[in-house]
Amino acid sequence: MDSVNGAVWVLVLPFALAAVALLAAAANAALDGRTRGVSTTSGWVAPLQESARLLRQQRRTLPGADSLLWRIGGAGLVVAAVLKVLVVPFGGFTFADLSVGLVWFNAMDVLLWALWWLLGWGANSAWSLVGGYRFLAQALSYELPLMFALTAPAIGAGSLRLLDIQDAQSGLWFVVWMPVAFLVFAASVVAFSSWGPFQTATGRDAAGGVIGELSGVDRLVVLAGRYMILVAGAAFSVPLFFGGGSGPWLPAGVWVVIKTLAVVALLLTVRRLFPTLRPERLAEVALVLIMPLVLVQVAVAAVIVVVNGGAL
Amino acid sequence: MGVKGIVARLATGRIHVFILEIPGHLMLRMQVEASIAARGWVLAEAPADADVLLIVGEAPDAFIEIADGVWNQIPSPRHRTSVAAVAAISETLDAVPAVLRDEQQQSRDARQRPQHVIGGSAESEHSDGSDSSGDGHGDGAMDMEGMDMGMDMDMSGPAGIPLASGDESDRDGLEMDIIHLTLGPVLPDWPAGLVVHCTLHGDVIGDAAMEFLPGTGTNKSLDAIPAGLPAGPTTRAAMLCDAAGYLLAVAGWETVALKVRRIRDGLITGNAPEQMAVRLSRVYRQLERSRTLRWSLAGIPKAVDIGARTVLLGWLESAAAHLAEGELEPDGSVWPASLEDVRTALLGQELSVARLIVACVEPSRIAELSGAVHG
Repeated sequence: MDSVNGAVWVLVLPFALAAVALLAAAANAALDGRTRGVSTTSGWVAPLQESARLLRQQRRTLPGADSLLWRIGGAGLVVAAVLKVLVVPFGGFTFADLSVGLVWFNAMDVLLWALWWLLGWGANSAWSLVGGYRFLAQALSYELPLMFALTAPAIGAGSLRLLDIQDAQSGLWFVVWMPVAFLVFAASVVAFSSWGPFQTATGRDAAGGVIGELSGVDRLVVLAGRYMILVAGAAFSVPLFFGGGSGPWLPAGVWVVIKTLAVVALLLTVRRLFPTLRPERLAEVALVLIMPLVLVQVAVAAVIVVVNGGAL
Repeated sequence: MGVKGIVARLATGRIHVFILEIPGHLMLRMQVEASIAARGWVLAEAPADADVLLIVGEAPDAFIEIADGVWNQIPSPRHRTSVAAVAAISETLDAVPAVLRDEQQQSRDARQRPQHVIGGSAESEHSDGSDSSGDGHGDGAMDMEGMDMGMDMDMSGPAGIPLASGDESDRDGLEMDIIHLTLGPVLPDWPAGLVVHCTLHGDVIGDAAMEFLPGTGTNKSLDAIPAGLPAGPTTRAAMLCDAAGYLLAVAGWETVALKVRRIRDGLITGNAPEQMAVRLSRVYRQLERSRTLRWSLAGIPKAVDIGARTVLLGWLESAAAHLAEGELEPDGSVWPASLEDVRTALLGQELSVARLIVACVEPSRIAELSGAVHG
């Protein structure tokens, strides 16, 4: 019975994720619209207008483009986002109850290295290639801190299984005693989506970078995929740091969605408050400052677990 | 109206306009951008992202060729138009959605397109250096040394495009990572008419040659102010905000860049200057307070005695002073004295830094700087 249920839900999942991504994009456009001085309504419909526009638009290719790898890179973002959400528990229910769910997430985010790079490589355009370089430079900075940040909840729960991690927070959410791990995780989500302050790979200053040569449905898939990754990352932070589906009155699944939206709102705010961090500046801070901080965070978590005999 | 019609209407609600600014039409371009923003449309970041190619000003032959190259790269449905006077802006823009929705015309246009896009990317269609510099003008600070631009490259790569090469001068010793990239004249947030031919090692500029393509307009932008618009200090303030908007966009702080551009739009359209002054001081405070911006921009090597943050704040400060009818002239910093100064500053820099360095030069000064070489 449960497996039948799961099979139905798994068909709904990509569309639900896309819907939440659309909502995030709309909210972002509405905020930007307010800054520009256009009406908020026209901001909210902007992603729909963009989608319609891109669906009507011609696809294009360039001489010498490596079309196969290029298209794989584009479509892969959506796939990676959906695969990330597969292991997120909605209360007691999860699409894939892997004993190594945390590692699965990490594997998917390493996949993004390849996907963004292929997008930059496949176009056979100098600006796209530069965008690809930029993403890799940035990825070198965020990936190591991210991996250590991910170990903190695993230490807290003594398990790599997301249901265990979620249940270990029945007393106190991990975000309370692992704030550094959460901040690094949140920043990494923004970074692997190549968005907000970490958008150099797709930056305007590089004429769009890795997405600069895309048009039509190819561009739509990449832009949608980018927001889906962002939302998937936010959704993943819920079982890791915010107690999963725990909460009064409402069903656990609803709480997961509400908490996800709250994290997305946080990310949208952060985007407006910070300028772009250039990869070469980022490397210094990430490896000299953030890495030790994350290691201290992991050590503190480990000591607490040993002294307390389990999570707080 | 069927589904197709609804989609078409939705699709033309937020049109992406790619602007090709002819040097000397700064005021006109600012007016055009203000009209675009007022309609809720956006500025395209690359030809692939564009619906409309809009030529601002009267294009000389060199720019017509460049426009043709860009036009080839814009996906259908598309529209090419130009505007030469402020009075014509709104009429020109109003006509756009109908053209993009006209399916018969668009499919006719699509059938006539060449099968393959000519030119690899936004800039490579004129990277052979033959179109603009070959006709005897505009080779301001042209330095052809080390610029082989496809003359002696083999054509063995995919689709006849030469593979990236490598040689002894390569700073990192990597093979096959030397590529040639031309920055401008069609690039978002880039000064009109400026072209930088770069030899890149990876994404670091190994060698560069500067060129300025003169336009038809008078380069004294202030002369181009149409009658009935606020002149003098307000216009000057708008130009400074425009430059600051460029720099912020290149630095990648989109939301604040939008704020600064909104102030600029308010100034040139003459809407409530007092309110704009208040907004300006608010933006100034936000920028001044931001430690992230200070840290991110501080990374630019000070080969020249200049900091991007100082320049940015200086522009906004002086814009505010102009609005308050005060006289605050820049502190007399002379960098750059010529395009050659800019070129020297670019060498050995990563592309994003190079773009920031160029953005530190006020767009309206570029023509004057290119003149400094001749004189």
